Amino acid sequence: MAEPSFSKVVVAINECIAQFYTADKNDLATLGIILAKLDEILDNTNLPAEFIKDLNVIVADVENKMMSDRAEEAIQDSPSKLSQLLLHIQDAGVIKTEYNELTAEQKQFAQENITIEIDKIDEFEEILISIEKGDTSPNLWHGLKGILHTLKGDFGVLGLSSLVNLVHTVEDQIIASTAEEIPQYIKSLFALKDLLQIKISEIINGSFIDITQTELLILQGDTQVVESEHSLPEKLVVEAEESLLIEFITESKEHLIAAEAALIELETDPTNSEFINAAFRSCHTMKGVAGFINLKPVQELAHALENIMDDIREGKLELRSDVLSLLLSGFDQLGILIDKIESNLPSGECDTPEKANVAYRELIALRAAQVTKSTSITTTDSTEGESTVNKNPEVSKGVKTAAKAVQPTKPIAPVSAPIKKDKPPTSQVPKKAATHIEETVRVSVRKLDLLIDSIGEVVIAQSMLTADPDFTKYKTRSLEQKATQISMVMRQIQEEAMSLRMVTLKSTFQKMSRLVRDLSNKMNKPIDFIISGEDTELDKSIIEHIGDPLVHMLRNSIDHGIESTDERLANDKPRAGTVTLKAYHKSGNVVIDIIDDGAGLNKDVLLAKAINNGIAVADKVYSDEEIYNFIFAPGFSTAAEITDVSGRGVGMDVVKRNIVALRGSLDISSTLGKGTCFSIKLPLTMAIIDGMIVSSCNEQLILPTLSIITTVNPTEDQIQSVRGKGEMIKLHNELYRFIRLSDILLLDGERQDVTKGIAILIENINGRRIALWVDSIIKKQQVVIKSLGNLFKEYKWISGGAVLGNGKVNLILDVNAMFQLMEEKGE
Amino acid sequence: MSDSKLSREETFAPKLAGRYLSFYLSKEEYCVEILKVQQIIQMDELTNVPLTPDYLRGVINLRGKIVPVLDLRIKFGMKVLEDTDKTCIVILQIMVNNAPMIAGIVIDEVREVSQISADMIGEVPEFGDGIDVTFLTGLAKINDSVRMIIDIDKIFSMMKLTEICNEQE
Repeated sequence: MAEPSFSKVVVAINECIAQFYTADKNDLATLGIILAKLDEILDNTNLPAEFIKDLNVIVADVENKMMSDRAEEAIQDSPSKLSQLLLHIQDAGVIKTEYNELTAEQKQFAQENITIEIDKIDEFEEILISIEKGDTSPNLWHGLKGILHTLKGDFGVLGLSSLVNLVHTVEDQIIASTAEEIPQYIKSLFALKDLLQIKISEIINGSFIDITQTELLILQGDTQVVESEHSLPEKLVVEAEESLLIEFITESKEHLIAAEAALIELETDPTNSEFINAAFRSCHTMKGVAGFINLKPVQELAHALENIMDDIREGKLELRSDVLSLLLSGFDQLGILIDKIESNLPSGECDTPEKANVAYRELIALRAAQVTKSTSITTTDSTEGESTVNKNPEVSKGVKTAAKAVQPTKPIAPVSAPIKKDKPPTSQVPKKAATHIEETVRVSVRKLDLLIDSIGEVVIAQSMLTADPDFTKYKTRSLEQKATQISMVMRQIQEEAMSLRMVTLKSTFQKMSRLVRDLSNKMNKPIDFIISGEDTELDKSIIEHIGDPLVHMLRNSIDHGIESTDERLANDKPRAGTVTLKAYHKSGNVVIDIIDDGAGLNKDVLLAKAINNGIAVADKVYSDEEIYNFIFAPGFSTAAEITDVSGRGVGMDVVKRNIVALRGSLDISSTLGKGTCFSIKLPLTMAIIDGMIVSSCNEQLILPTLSIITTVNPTEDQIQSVRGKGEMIKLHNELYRFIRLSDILLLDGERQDVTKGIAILIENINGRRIALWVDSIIKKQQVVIKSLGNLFKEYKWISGGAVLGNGKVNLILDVNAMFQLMEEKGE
Repeated sequence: MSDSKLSREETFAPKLAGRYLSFYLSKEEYCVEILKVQQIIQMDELTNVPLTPDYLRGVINLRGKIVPVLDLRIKFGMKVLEDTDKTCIVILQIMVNNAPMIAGIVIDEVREVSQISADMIGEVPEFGDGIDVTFLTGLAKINDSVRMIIDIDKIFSMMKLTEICNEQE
């Protein structure tokens, strides 16, 4: 049992030790104070006798040395002696050795007070960074010893004896060395810092487990354990519990994205040390954590990558294009490994893929070749003009600041543990238009959705209150003002809640950088890739699904759009093709443009192909837009066009369908010889749509305004009955099928005269139009779509339900499915 | 009673013992495990869903979630009485194909919540006349009344709305 008096003793002895570290041999006054403190401890404590004896011996020794002018010796020796004593006190069962043997109060005490250690870890890290940069001053050295010691002591007070042992092990190694020797230990020290951070966050969120012997050994023999084989272990065996694994997986994915982004930046700015350090740091952290949960293949692959990057930043290896590709492929393999672990949860065990081994060996070989100063590695880049991937700084900055102005809300980016500072890799990559680093919290999407649901309910309750007849009857001016005030705040809360789900396009766009680089290499087409507006935010669910369509379209642009270098030069175009990926806000939507300065779309060729494939009819006149849209017709890509990269049956029709599923739209514009622009328009959030509430036979339903072309109150002469086809309506000189909504949905009610209702011209994804007749239009309103659940999933013509201000559910119709319904009914 | 039937009753009744919510459907008494009951609400405004079977009365807004409401009286082919102020909706947590689902059923009146012990439970006899008894797991005899124990999970699992929808055409 940790008794309070012992904790005080520990604290007091710690203080003395710290003072010894900073004491000057000539400052006898300070030494005197330390001695006095030690005397106090001896007097006031009920330490077991043996410890009192030991402490007495130490004190006597110091006194002697002071008096015989050997104060310096005393200062050197005493801290370690006192440390030893402390450990003995702690080991003597004063504080239980195992964490799970602590009482609940002790655990709580630890949890409540561990947060102060976070600052100390930060201090620790700063010292390490300075040492790494080459600072060998004795002060720093003392500071290092001091902070380690303080950490150890604090952990002791909190009853975390496995952490005490851990720090002590490292401290032992260091105490015996000098300031100049410290840089050798820097790797272990960083590893220690990383592990401590992890452990502290475990304590904070209640998932702390004691450190195992294996971890201790790895910490001590860091480099040795990892460099023993030139092959990754065949099987990846995991010794960690699932929650730890999941956290590792999530964080690793972030580290990989950060590392990849940093490496891509390096390609255009090879001497920028911040980027290489950032990539190194990401890799290093991953390696550390992988080591602690004993994921050997990950650890070793990461270590191989780390070594190369280390060589680069020390100037021993030049960052050539092939080296960069190797690094990128190494990170890719790490990503694949992580994915494999994820798909094999909860055990996470899997076989190491052969490609990972290949990458591993290549990295080791590269390093070995460097050591023997060989220069025979051939470049994979066969074009003379290197393909470059860069950001146009001006455009980025301008749009970034513009984007910032439009978005007053903060984006949520996940951070590992609830520790105050971000982990080094992600926060130290400098951005061109530097945004300040914001603190973030990781929140589960499920909680967000619950919150948004609740807020929706409050909004409804509030509007029901103000719509209540009693309220209207008795309301006074002051009451009305208050109601308005509430309504305004509610609207604000709702907006803020919806914005919680917003995520920037940044990581999606960053992935595209990599894709373009690879494609450009593969196809031997140098590409100038410009990204802007990556700070634009979209709802999380949209971001998840927009990646694939973008990939397709970029592939399309580079494969079919951008011409070969010869052709370009022949046409007075710059050698490198320019592909721009741009995101911005426009009239309540987010627009993503993919622009290339390639050959543009050839209408004649397209039309001919469409006729060939039966998609278009010969002799009919089509507008430019209609011709371009043939690209999206299923089956448009013919076998002749299938290259390795695109046209493999996963055509543009799938792309368009995916975008429409996100409730977006896709437009094309092009100039022959100059280039093409694909413009994707997306709603800010999938959860809200603009709806038109209509009434038919006393049932209220909602039509998405996106599908509505126009509405009209029909006159008698506009309606015609065509034999064999039912009713038609003439609008703007075109004839459209005319159907009553109540007939499709088999609603019961009086059949009104057509002139007493409204005809709504709706359009489906293929551009077909039909006039839908309803009794009346109630109003236009933005509504939140809610799912109706599994029971209704076969009813494709309902896309969901919306809860209106009066608390009632209105069904939202899916226009495309409605068209199908109408066809099935033979109308 | 034959030996085999005796042993069946011995094993199956204890499994069904527990607390049940008893209610009326068109003057007949039924009960459902209380653990599955989430709440009981008034007959609020239901939104009718077109092109669905009659027994799917519609959907309702429950604290922001849209929940389907069924009328078992219609599904069981009973005579549907007029709604009174005692008519209400029981919201249940149901397991359909191992996935949890929230749904409501319309009932005429709540009777009570009571403990039903194994000795009160008996097997469902054959009714003949082709009346479907697959949804009943047992009969409970409490005092003078006989209540039918419903297997609500089964009712929902076996519902295939689209099949019925096609029948309508």
